Parts: sequence; C-alpha cells; structure tokens
Amino acid sequence: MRELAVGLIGRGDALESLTRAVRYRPGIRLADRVEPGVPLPDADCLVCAGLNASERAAVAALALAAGRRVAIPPLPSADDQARRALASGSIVQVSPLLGYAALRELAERVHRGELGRRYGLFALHHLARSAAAAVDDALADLLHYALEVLESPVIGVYARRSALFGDQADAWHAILRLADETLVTLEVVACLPVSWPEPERLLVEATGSDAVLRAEPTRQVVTASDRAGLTRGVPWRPDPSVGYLEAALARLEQPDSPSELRYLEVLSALLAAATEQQAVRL
Amino acid sequence: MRRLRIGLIGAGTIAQSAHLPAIQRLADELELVAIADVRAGVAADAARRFGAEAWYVDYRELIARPDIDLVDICTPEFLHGEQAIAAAEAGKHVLCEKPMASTLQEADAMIAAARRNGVKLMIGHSRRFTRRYQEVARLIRDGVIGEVRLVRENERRPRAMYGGLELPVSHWAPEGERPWLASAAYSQGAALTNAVHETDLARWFIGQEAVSVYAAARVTEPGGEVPDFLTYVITFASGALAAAEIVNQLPNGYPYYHMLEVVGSDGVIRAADPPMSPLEVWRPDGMTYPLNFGHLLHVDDAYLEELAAFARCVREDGELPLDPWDARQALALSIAIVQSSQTGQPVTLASIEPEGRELEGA
Repeated sequence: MRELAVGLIGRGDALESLTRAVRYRPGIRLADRVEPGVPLPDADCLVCAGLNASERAAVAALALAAGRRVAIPPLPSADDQARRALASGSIVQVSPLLGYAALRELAERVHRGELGRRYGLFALHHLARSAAAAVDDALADLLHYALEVLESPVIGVYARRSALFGDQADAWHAILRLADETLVTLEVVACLPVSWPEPERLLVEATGSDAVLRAEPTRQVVTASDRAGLTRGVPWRPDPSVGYLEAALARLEQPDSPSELRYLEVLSALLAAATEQQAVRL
Repeated sequence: MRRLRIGLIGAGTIAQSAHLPAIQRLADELELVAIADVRAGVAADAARRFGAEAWYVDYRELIARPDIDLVDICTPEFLHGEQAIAAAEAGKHVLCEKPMASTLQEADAMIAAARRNGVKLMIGHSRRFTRRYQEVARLIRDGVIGEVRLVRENERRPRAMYGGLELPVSHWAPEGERPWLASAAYSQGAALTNAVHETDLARWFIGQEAVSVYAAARVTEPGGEVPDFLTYVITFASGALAAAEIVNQLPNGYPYYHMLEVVGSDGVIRAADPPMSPLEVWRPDGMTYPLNFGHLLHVDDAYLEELAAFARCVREDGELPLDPWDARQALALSIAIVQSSQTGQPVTLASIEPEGRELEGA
C-alpha cells in the first residue's frame, strides 16, 4: 500500500518535533516541510504546527484556494473566510492539546459517560509571562478542545479579554453554558514567571455525579534544589507532537464540518462577548 | 484575668464541628455559659457535652441573661440580622458566622446596631484566621509578587463532607422539609454558603473594591432547589480579576480541595492542596482519596484563632481583627453573584446597593 505523503508547515521547535513524529510513524512519509508564508508543499495532506493566529488563517486561505487537505490548529477568528474554509471539509482543525495523552484519555472517558451527570469542565492554560502574544491562539486551542470533549451545543457565552500585566492583552476568562446545563470555565493567562518550574501549566478537570477526571499533562518536571536554596524545574514530558500528528491524521480521514462550524459559531460569540462586556446567547 | 462569659446561638454542624470545640480549648479565656437552639434535644445535648450551665430553645432568653458578655451566632444567615441586632441592643458583643446576612440591608442594620450600642461586631470569616491564607496575605503585604492582578480559587467538596465528621447533629430542617442549606426558602445556595469565603479572600488579597461580577450557577443535586455549582469572574477597579469555580456535590472518593493561585505583577503564589491529598487508598478497583480532615480548613486552628482574636479585642477594647465592613462587602459580591447567575448578565456592585444607604466603608 502506498505511503501517505505528509507535508508539514510550521517553524521552530514545533516543526522539528512534528518532523520527528512523521519520520518515525509507520505508513506515512515526509513529503516536504516549509515555514509559513511560502507556497504549500506538494503532498497528499498537510499538517501545521506552531502557527500564530494570522498564519493559521493564511494557511487555511491558501489551502482552500488550492483545494488541498490540511490540518491546522483552531482558527482564532471567525470571519467568512474561516467559515468557507471549514465548510469545505478539506480543512480540519486539531487542538494541539490533543497531543497530550492525558487529555485524549480524559476526552475519551467523558465520551464513554464516566462522569455520570455532567457538572462542569474547568480548563486552565497558563503561559510564560513573555508569551502574551499567544493568548488568543491558546484560547482557541482550549475552546476547541473543550467543545470536542463535551459535544453539547453551547447556549450562552461570557468572556473577558484583559491586559493584566501591561498594555497588551494577556488573559482570557470565559464561561460557557451548554444545552445539557454543563458549565465550562476557561482561563488562559500569560502569567508564569521565569522561575516557574514548568514552561506552561495545563489543568483540566471534568466534574460529574459519578467521577472527577483531572489531567495536568505538563506537570512532569524534574525538580532540582541547590545549596543556595534555589529550586529549578526541568520538564521531561513526552513530545506532544506524536499525539497531535495522530489526531490530525484521524481528523483528515474523517472531517466533521458541522462540528468545525459550531466551533466558529461559539468563537464568534465569545469574541463578541469580550468586546461588548456582555453575555451572549446562541 | 476574668474569663469572658459566652453564649452560643445555633448548635448545628458548624457550632459542633468548629466553634464549640474551639471554645473548649480556650477555657482559660472563655467560659461557655449557655447554648440556644430551636431543637430542644440538640441544645440540651450540646450543653451537656460542652459544659454549658444552661440551654434554651428561644435565643432571646439567652441574650436576656445579664451575665453573658458576648454572643456567638452560628445560625443560618437568614437569622443573623435579627439575632445580631437583638444581641447588640442587649449590650452583648457579637461574633457571627459568615455570611454576614441574607441581604445588604440586614448587614447595614447589624453594623448600625453595633455602633449605636457601643459593642463589637465581627463576622467569622474563618479563612482570615487560617494559617495558609494568612501566609499568602503576608507575602502580598511584603510585596513579594508586586501588585495582585489575578486571584483564582477553586473549591471542591464531596457530597458527604459533613457526614464524615460523624457529628451528633445535622443541618437544621423545618419539619417535613429538606435541610435549610438545600432549601430555596432559606438559602441562596453556594454563592453565600461557600463563595463568600472566596469573595472575601479576593478583596483581602487584591486590596480594593470590585466593580462588576459575572457568574453562572446550576443545581446538580437531583431535586435540588438551590445552586450547588457556580463559576464566576469578578472585575476590580484596577482591572484586576478574581475567579472561582465551586463544586459541592462530587463523588465521595474526591477530597475536600482548594486550589488558590495569586498572580502578581512580579510573581505567583500558589497555595493548593497537594495533588490531591496526602492520604490515598489503593484497592483492586482503583484509588480513592478518603475524606481527609487534616485538609478541612475549618477543623484546623482557624476557629480557635478567630475566637481568641475576638475575645482579645473585646477584653482590651482593641481594634477588630476583621471589620464588619469587609464582611458586608464580601456579602455584596456574593449577592451580585446570585443576581448575575439569575439574569445571565454581568452585574455592577453599584446596582445592588440599597437605596438611601447611609453607612460608608469603615
């Protein structure tokens, strides 16, 4: 059987990690890899990683125009171009959070009904203080993951986009009310000081009548304390690119345009709520 | 040193798990004189077990005693206004459980009554006297993390939290009705029962007044009447935020758990229960966190410190360790949470102030 030729779009460490994941994944081969802003590589499908908001949108537009199949991290804007891209079925979104085994497992267990009656989903993503420019993207990733976990229509949204530490927005707080009464709380803040032992902090807790599912996938750190009393953390967690790649390939195999468009509808409401400082009903 | 003579009103769960044991431990400073509870059997039993010389069904008989210096009110919040004002009018100093009252009007009337009668009034926000939070406040005060910009505290409780304490008493319930905490006739739910702790901590740590609140709440208990799950975001005048998610009906294998994170301009303070509890039990069918009361903040020394601080303030006619205005403002935030969760829209604090309010902040 012919191997699937996969092209990669990204930059930096994310691109390197994804490249390694493709090389060691049976059944596929690396066709090409490029940085964003250049023509799309020739391949059976494309997978993107490490792109910021405008790059995600640009790749989606290029892929739509060229009729190419591409997996991108969730779009952080909900304009007409994004709608057309996701409605096409050839462009799919994959939250990078699915790269973490604990978060995939949590999603699967929720889908299996382990929570019993669902109460809520609390999801927190704290980034380095210097990563304020990434909070919009991180919110998109967290929102997409939350909607994928819960699979229930959103009926109301409240959101705040704040500049807590400077002039630039560096925090998102959102509360979503779902049709089955589940309450979703999302918090993204670029707040971790350089001394924090983890490069980022992810916490997801799904609560219900029968179980609580709690995942902290970034909490895998070797802690070293020296004689001066200084403690440093060295993360050793598995590379999330492997899980992200699997999720991307699966999503490309079975696109779900209605779900992708529902995500855009919720994102649009969330952005409106943040702008208007009011809750928005869907 | 003459011991202060204390009477306790409402011998329910918080009294028997926290206040009365603390009074016993403070026997060098406090003498428990009388207990009142509308349930005669509960009042009599508590008086016998904790060594009070008298018990009453009608709290007015207790506050009519001239030999009582101060009254400790541990009843449901809808009774706080009436009882605290009556005690103040009788010249008793008043320590009253949180939340301060059911309404801001009642809270303002309590403050006015205490001032009018020259007695001390303190609301028992126990976390102000809990070592964990005192350490956080000290670090903030010392400038370790700079200006506080975000306070996140999540609180999770298993269904059987109080059941595990094996108390000889349960929450008061009118005949034929559900316990008052779960009844819409008497309680406004988690916003006042639990979140008034979080709203108080947020004001304490951020050090300013809030502007607006958005909250969403729901009832998770089948057949329940009042919200037992809520999530909210509070915006303060400087743009700082406070947020919490509070869940009360979790499976019993889950521990009582707090996750506090205070983010400042120069650093972060984290004071969460370790993941998740130092006591874990592994069995063939999986692992559980048995109820671990070492982690229940209110059975630590918080209540002992609270009662001791109030007694010292009364004896020395000193400054109140916690001004009732702070409790009043924590209540205002909790009421805003209730209103926002009911309307589905943000609520400003200005919009919930009683008309013609004359009192100003302390």
